[in-house]
Amino acid sequence: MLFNSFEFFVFLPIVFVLYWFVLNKKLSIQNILLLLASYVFYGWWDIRFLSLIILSTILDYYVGQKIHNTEEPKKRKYWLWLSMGFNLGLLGFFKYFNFFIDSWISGFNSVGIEMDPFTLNIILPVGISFYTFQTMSYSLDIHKRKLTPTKDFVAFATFVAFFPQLVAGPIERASNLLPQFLRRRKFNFNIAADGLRQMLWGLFKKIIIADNCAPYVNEIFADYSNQSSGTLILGVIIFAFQIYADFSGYTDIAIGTARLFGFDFKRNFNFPYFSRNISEFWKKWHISLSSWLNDYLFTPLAIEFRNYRKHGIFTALFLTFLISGLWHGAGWNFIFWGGLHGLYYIPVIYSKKRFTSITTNKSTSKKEDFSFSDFPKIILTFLMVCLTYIFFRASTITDAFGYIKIIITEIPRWPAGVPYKSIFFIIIVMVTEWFQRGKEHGLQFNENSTVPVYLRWTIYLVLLLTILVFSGEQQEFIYFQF
Amino acid sequence: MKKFLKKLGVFLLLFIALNLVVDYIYNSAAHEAIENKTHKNYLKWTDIHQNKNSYDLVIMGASRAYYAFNPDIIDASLNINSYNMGTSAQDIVESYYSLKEIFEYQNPKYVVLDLFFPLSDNVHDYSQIFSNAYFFNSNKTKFELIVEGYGGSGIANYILPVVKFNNYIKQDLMGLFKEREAIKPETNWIKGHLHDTVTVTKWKIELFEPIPNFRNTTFDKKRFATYFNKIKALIESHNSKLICVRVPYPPSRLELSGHDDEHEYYSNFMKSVEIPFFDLNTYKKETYYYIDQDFADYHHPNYRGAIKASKQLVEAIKQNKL
Repeated sequence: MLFNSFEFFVFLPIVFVLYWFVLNKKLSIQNILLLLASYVFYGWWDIRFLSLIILSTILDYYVGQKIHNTEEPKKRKYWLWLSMGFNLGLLGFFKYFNFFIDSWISGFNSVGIEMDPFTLNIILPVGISFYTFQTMSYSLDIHKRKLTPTKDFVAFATFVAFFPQLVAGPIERASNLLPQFLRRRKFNFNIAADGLRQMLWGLFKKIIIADNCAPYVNEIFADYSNQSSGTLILGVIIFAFQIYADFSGYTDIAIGTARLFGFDFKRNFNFPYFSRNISEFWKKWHISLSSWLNDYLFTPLAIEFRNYRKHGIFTALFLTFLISGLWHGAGWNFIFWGGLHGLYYIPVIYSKKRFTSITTNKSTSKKEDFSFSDFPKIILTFLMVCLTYIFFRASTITDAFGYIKIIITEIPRWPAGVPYKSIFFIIIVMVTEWFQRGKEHGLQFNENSTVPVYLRWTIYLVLLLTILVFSGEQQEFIYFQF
Repeated sequence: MKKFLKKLGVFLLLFIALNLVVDYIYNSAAHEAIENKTHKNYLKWTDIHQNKNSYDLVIMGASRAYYAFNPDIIDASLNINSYNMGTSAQDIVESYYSLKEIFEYQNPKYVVLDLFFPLSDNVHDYSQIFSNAYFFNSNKTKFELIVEGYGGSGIANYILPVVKFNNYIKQDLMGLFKEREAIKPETNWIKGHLHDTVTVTKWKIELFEPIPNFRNTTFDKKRFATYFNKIKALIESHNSKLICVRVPYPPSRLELSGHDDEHEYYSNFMKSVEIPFFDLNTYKKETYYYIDQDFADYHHPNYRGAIKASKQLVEAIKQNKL
């Protein structure tokens, strides 16, 4: 089920009413309702793949208990590897099987050994990269003795499958989300009202910006060789806003929905296009993934390579970004995208006295101060990120290099078919977010806000009407494919 | 919770009120046209409902179909009674449910279906769809069209006038910033065919864009195949014959276009399902040679084009002994 679908707007009120009015007497019943609702939400897309989530849930629940109840390090490691093996095996099969087979065969072919192509028609289950990472962090945290496993199976299963964040995150840690399933939730007017506002803002970004930009970007990337360099430059810039609006829009809807049910998710975006350098960008973009990679990949690798000092740090970071690229998609273009981000860190690592973390787990709501001299830095960082997006969006790495070649070798001309309407809405969103950057989302109003109620309500109505009138053709969320 | 529900309720009421205003603004012209008996879909459906079992050939499709085929020409040549049931922006799903309604009142020997990619894409003009379905006598067919045919999106559009009329609201809002073309009155109807005497201007020809293809449309092959097969089955179950056509495009547009995806796709598809298909861009091209002046705009044949297209259809039926 898509957040931007009619079905969701029927589903959500039904679950909301059952949750707060009918089944509100007992916590366990509320959790069962959320679990069933989550399975309906996921099964709406393809019921067959529910079995994978259920299997992963049962295994990780059992493994979690086993790791916790075993003192012997060898056995603890054995159980941990069972969980890792199963989850990575799922990912490996459904997401990477064809990629590795293809790469293997073309590797052999390139040295003159002919092999017949062999691929399977595998469907990628939606959200597999997200929920496997979530369950892996559960087992890893128990292994590190940072977390005590829960004995409440329903609560654990709901933690794995909770519908607002099941298919595209935020990748929640058990330490934050699981305890929320174990305690009684109370309805809070301010939180719920802000949740609705956040959903509205997310829908606006998704439907008005991302969905309207998609056809323009698709056409340019599908036929880049026949486009002028100006059009290609504009195409990737528009894609930068499309992907931001799409993914941060999804996240806003997810967080807002969770708030309606009394849950608090970690922040996933913190206005990343206002970053002054690449390090800051990764502290603000897809925070739940970068902090996951930081904690479970970069930090252990950095410790492993600590004897090599800064070279070791860089190696750990570069490997982390390569894997981040592979997480995003089974293709060399994604790996290159990750690698490029890793390379951007060279000046950051070698100029800093101490570099310990890709991201910060602290969720800051403090409004950052910017000086005039920061703007060139913001623009430069944005352009660097845009360069990497060419690899991210292109179908293959060859296409990405072809795209860049045209940009470099041709004299820029005014782009064809400029999507003025989308640009107008992009400007509205970016200006709003600039002024709201100290807050959690673009439509947040403080409790003691000076904006009069009638004006706020007018804003909500105008946003809602704009969504309904200017909606583009419904598109799936980009991150569903990851 | 009470405060939350109260505020949410007030907001919803405001939203409903706004929808009612939009509905009033955009529907009042249609209601007036129905009252004055000038509404084009009202006139078409009244003919279908009142003249029971009198039409031998029914033409289905979007506006391209009702511009292109003149029943008077067809009737004179084939000695039959035909009717043009093309309606604005009619897509394949709408064609199917419209045919269901038509077969309740008519038993045509032939059904001619005009094909072009936008009739089975993912962009729907719901105000046109519902303006057509509004005149179905069968509530069941109407319900099926909305719920089965268009699913959640159909229901949302049916319930919310703001969504249903979004194209028109958008046009009106955009019209505040740029000069809008005057809408030409559509008054000259001949058995469902619009007899248009306008000729496309040179200036407009210069603005022509390539014809629909896989890249510039969201043509949905699966959706097309599903509903085409439903149409085929429905027609066959009434012992009627389905003939598919593609209305011509101005030659300047064809020149601009590269590979003709539409022609290739429909030719292959119709071959596979064994349904006669006549692409009027190419059928008997030597005899029926189209020029840009045979069109009222970028894709609607005017009265000159309609004469050629209608004669082409007649010849196709005669020559192929259909």
